[in-house]
Amino acid sequence: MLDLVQNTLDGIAAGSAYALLAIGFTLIFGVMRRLNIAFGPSIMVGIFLGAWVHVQWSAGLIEAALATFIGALLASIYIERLSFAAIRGDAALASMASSFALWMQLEQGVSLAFPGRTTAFPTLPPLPDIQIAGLFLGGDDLLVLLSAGLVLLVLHRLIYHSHFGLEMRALADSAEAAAVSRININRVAFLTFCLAALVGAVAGLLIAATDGQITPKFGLWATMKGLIAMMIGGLGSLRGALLGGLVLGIVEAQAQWYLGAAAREIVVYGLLFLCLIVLPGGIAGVRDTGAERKL
Amino acid sequence: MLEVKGLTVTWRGESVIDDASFSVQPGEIVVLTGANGSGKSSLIRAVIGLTPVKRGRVLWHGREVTKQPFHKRDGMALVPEGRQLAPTLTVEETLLLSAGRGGAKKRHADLQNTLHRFPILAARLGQPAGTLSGGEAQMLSLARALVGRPRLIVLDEPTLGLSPAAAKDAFSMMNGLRDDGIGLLLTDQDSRAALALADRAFVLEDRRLRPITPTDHKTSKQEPTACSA
Repeated sequence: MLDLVQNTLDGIAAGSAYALLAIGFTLIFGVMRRLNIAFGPSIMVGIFLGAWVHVQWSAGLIEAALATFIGALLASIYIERLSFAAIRGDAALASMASSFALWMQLEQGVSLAFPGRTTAFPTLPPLPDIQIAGLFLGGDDLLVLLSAGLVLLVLHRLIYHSHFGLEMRALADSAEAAAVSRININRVAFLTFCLAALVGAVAGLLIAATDGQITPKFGLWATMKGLIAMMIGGLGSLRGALLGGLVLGIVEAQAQWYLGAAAREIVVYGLLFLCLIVLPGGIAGVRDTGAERKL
Repeated sequence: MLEVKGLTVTWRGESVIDDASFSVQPGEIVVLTGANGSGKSSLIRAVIGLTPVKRGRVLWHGREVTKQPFHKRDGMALVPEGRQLAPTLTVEETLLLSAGRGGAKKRHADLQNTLHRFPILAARLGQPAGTLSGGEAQMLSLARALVGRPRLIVLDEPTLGLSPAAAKDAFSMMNGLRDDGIGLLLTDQDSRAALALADRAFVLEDRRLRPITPTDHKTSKQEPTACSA
């Protein structure tokens, strides 16, 4: 029983970072109704810029974090301009295919720029580990949890208590209603893309700083984790993204403990398959009717 | 106030409106009539900047706005066909979204001013727009247009789907808006009632806009079959 609870605790810590990745995907999908599969690679570009600043000038975590945010933001703007703004709103498939092309381009570009594959990244500041009633929570995990929680609070405040958030929700609800309300749809979509990039950069930063290193495969990894968490939670729902991330983290931790690392991915994809069959709207129960969508 | 000169609108390469010209002055109701599918909505969307114009000009207070998108046209508002409300936003959020620019304080002041005209909406501020009745939703659509303090409101089939009593209220409110100095450009399936309000009227036939006399048109035997639902 203690193992089960401990695994759940570990899973929540990992899942909070997955939730941020899923929220990044969800912001873009919820508002634009288009999938940016280059989201993970855009974060990877940011992290590599942070790693480069660290390696080049022995910069600490704060400087590396700043570089990560700037890099992820620039890469996201590049993707948004080429794969979304330049492609008609109703051509969702073209946007997705275009973002896949940019994914390959960004990954190859980073591989060429960092031929050593694995690059060092500054680690998180040491926090004391916590042990209560036989349960253990590492200092790193605690920091990841607290940081993810803070980002979620800020995001909630922005989306549900600001005029920009209202514009985002209106656009997610109905593009026609947003246009009639005299919202500048292109501006809101662009800013949402930037917001998603920053949320994703926080997730990437926490993961890279926990591991102390980064490889160009991070883009693929982040895209897969974020997409799976979003689909488990419910496409286009922020609450679903949060739940999906946490469930993914917990299931991974339990599967790894009880079945071994090799079986972990089999269980995760099995869960995804099960969700798509039994709960096609995800845990949050998003109904894909157009009239019932809610960010 | 609004001047439309020689407007041509195309849809998928086909011309739907040819060389349309008209104007709307402050405190004036201009009615566009025509059979279903004659292109009234296309014309309205082009005039207001929601769809591109092929040829011609739209002037707003003497300033060229033909290529300016709707969100940049201060003083214009639209009550679209089918209401087009965001179903999960509450009544309050819907109105705040369209309230004039200038910060939260001003937006809330505009909201309060608008709610005086719509006591039913004031009692449903926290209710999602998607759960309102047809009449209430239409009222919200009208309130959304008014909350930004427009000088011109374009109304596309505002009484479609309303009960006779609710439609009468809507026409009465439009009359009141004219008295407030707001210009209205109106299309409505109940062309008799719309033309009864009109200061000037136009009929859209064969892609061409032709002026008609509202009173003459009201007595036309052909009109109800062509325009009434």
